[in-house]
Amino acid sequence: MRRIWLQGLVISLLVHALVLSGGWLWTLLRHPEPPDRPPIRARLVAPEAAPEPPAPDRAQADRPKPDKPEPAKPEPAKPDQPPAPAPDKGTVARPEPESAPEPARPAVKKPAHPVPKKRVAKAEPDKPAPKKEPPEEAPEPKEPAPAKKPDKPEPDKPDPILGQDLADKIAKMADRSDSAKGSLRQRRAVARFQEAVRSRVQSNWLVPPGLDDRDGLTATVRIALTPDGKLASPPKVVSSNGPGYFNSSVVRAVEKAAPFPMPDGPTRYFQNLELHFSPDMVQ
Amino acid sequence: MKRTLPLLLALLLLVAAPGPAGAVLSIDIRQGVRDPLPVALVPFSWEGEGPRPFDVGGVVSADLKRSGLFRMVREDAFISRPHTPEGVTYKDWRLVGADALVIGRMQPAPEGKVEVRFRLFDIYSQRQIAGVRYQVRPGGLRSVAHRIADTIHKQLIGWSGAFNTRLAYVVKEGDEFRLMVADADGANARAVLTSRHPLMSPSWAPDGKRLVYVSFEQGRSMVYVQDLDTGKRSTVAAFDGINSAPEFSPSGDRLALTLSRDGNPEIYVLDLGTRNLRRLTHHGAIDTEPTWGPDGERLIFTSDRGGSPQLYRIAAAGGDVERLTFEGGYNASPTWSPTGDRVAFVHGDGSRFAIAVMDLKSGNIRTLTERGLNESPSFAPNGHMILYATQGAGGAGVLATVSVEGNVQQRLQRKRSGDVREPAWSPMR
Repeated sequence: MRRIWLQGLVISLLVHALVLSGGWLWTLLRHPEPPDRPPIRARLVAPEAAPEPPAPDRAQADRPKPDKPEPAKPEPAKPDQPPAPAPDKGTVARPEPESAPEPARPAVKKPAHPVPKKRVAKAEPDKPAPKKEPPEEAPEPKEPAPAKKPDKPEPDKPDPILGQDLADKIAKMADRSDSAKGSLRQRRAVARFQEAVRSRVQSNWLVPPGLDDRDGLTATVRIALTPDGKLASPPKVVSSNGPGYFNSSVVRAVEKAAPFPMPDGPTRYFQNLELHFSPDMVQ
Repeated sequence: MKRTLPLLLALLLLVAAPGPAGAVLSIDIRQGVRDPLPVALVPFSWEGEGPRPFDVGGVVSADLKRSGLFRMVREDAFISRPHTPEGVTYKDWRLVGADALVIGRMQPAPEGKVEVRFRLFDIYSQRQIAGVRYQVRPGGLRSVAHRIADTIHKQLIGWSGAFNTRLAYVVKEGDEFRLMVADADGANARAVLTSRHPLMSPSWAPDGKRLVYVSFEQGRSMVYVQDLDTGKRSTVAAFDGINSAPEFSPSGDRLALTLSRDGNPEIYVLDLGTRNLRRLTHHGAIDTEPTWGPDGERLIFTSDRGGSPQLYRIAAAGGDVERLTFEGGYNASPTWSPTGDRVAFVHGDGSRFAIAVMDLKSGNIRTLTERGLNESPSFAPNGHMILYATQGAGGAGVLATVSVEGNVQQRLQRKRSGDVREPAWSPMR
């Protein structure tokens, strides 16, 4: 009797283990990235990002070590930066129009009214560029919007839910462990860094005029930084409800603001940023 | 056992996790700079014999600068001066602080024409964002320059400029009235009519080739339509009493105007083809200054039926009248935006007047200028700028423009003297 009971328990445990691990695998397969976590561009920055240098690969040690990963684009060095615009915020652009001479002409005379004959305004082919993009609009987010959570598993399948649950818990645990070492000092460093990035980007963002008719205009730009604060790749607009020229303006702002002043110590935490642009029209 | 399983799994996952979760730092950017966009323009090359037929690049540059939305990067700072895309080194242009670059070349083309090619580059996304080729006779080069400026404006700001347009206005000098037409930058100004009697209320036909206006040359007000190419003109309204404030309908086949033929100034719609006249308003007060909505279905006009001049709206087919303004003791001279969502007007207390816009959806009014002697607003065809007459330093009327946001204001300077009044911005050419 007792044996049967024990057997039953063992079988039940095995079944549970199977079901749970099945669910876990299912979620992993279905969502290659754990849910609730924006993709991390670890591959871009990992070699330098780790707090300690990774154990050198023996095979690699012999080879000449490659220099720092070059950013995808030539990065403007600090002195290259256009001088930070420091105009009075309140002043209004009031360019003096150039005076135009008004030649005296005889009255009511048949005027020669030149109408330029346009020979079908031909758009010239784009300069060869790595990516073919329509010349009309600003770069469009090539990536799907990341904010979207993966679809919830069907409710009639219990396993995935469990898996999802687990993943959530794990993410939370990871967060906690992260903030555990995130002492007051760490949090201060984060706040300081955020403020530094914000002020650099804000002073480089030329907000396109005439946007105030649109309510709730936002754009999110994701950027990956090298450990020394340069852009590891061009900024990416991952979501936006604005027109192309608005997106261009935010990308330009980030490009101009880089490189960013990185805090001392490990920089991994500071290398992946998401900037949410939402112009405050009242200013 | 059952309890440890999830924990085990958790541990497994922790090990497998590639990095700390939530590793993307989020930062909100709510403010920016309202500065003009820095643009570099390399003077266009001339690859033909003899002197350059026209400084296209110079006119493009002046247009962009005048809009108030661009700052032209100083030419003497340029590191390179390319005319072709192969010569563009993006880094050179970042160094001089340009966000966008304009290059171009001019070459002789068959039949005495000139070929103009221009390209616009975004320095930060490192790509060409516009490029157009034109072939025109030398006389058309100024217009090509304005069109290039419009294209650049559209690409960088989001809507087309109004550079390739014209202005009509009335100048009074001594006892002479002149009806003037000039390019939007003040170039090519010429009188299309000169008179010893008042000329008033010019307004453009939607084809941009004809003007309708009021002239007192017969000793009383009459409405004329004049073809600007041929100079030919015809009388379209010479009814008893007042004939005033004409405005072409968006389709160009009708005219809204004020007539007092029935005893009191009322709004009428005149069909230019059939000569049919329809009276829209029936009120003992003054109804005047009709302006068409872009759909041609409705009109906004000024009436003092409520005791002070205020704006009202009525269907072009007639019907009920709806009052639009309640704020302020004087709201007049409406002009309906080509985009349909706003009306600009003179807003004041009876002695000092500002140019204001009202959002027709919300009813919100925004004052765009200081109060003073401001009058006769007229929308640019892009719906983003308003042209009006104001008082210059010497007390004489001058032309000025203001953006619908109120942030870009400018005066249009004229070399010649005279009191400038009643401007009207042409449609797009």
